Amino acid sequence: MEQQILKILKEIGNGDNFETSEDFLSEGLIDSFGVIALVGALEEQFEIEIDGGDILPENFKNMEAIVNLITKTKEEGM
Amino acid sequence: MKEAKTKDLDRLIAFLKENVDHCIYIYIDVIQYGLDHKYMKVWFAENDSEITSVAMKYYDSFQLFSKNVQTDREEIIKLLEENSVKTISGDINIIQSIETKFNDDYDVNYGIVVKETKYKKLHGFEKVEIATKDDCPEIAHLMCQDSEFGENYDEDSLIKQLDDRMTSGMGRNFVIRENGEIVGHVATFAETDDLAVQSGLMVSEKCSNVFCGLILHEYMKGISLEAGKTVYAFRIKEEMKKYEKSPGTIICGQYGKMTRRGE
Repeated sequence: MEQQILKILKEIGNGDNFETSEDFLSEGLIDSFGVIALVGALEEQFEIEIDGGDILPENFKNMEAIVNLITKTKEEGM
Repeated sequence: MKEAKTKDLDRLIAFLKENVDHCIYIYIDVIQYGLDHKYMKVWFAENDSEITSVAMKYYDSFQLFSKNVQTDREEIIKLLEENSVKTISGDINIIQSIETKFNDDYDVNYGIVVKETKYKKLHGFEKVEIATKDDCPEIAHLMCQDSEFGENYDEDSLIKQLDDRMTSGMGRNFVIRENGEIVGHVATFAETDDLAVQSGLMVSEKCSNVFCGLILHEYMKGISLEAGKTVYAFRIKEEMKKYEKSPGTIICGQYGKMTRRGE
């Protein structure tokens, strides 16, 4: 899953330091509009629908947070 | 190109509506003002009684759209030469076709037109307020903090523009405050019964919420879509890949804008 997310991040984000970054947002690797694009790409890739209420900074902060969000969304969709 | 008269209005609107993705501003202004505005003039070209091109002069700018660039190009150039303006904008096809004729005096930039069809209901919508005229000075101050934007506008003229647009009901302004101070702003630049054009997204460096801009953007989309309006926005070309991935965002056209050098 991480490799798939990384591929999307590199496509959409500003730069490619996603492997080492602790905070994509504060380091400017993803901006506001990038988050919406990321949501769209994740939804398509993992066949999920991310709830608007889950689009919070803490869920897009780093790789671990995004993995957790996808896992949680998948579980809720079952 | 011949100047449009009131008798041409209905078929002009029909033509613009049919091609609205490529001539949004002309459509909105013609709907809003008709053909009797003091500082607005509209010309069109036709072939076998079918409209093929439209040019609108509004204050110091031209908006162009042509379905028949090859045939109408020379007439459009003649019109532009007779009416020198600060900016010339329009669908990419017509701008690309005329830019070489004007490149001694104008710089040109290209971008994309996006149409939004979905929105996400986010935490933070409850913090968005509709701005009033009393907020205009604070909004203008916020907007002018942006270095690029601030270079082209001064606060006083921006306050007047915001105030004028609120008076005429052309668009709506939405803000988010923190500790009583406006830290984020987005506007619909113009609206009709069936569409809205987004502009003016600005967030202060003081804002504590990294998603403030996103909240304002989604809120503006949501309120417009729920009212049955198509939401358009103009974006720089470099951001195209982001919009291609955004759910519900359709890249529906490309535009060009020529700006007279030294302006």
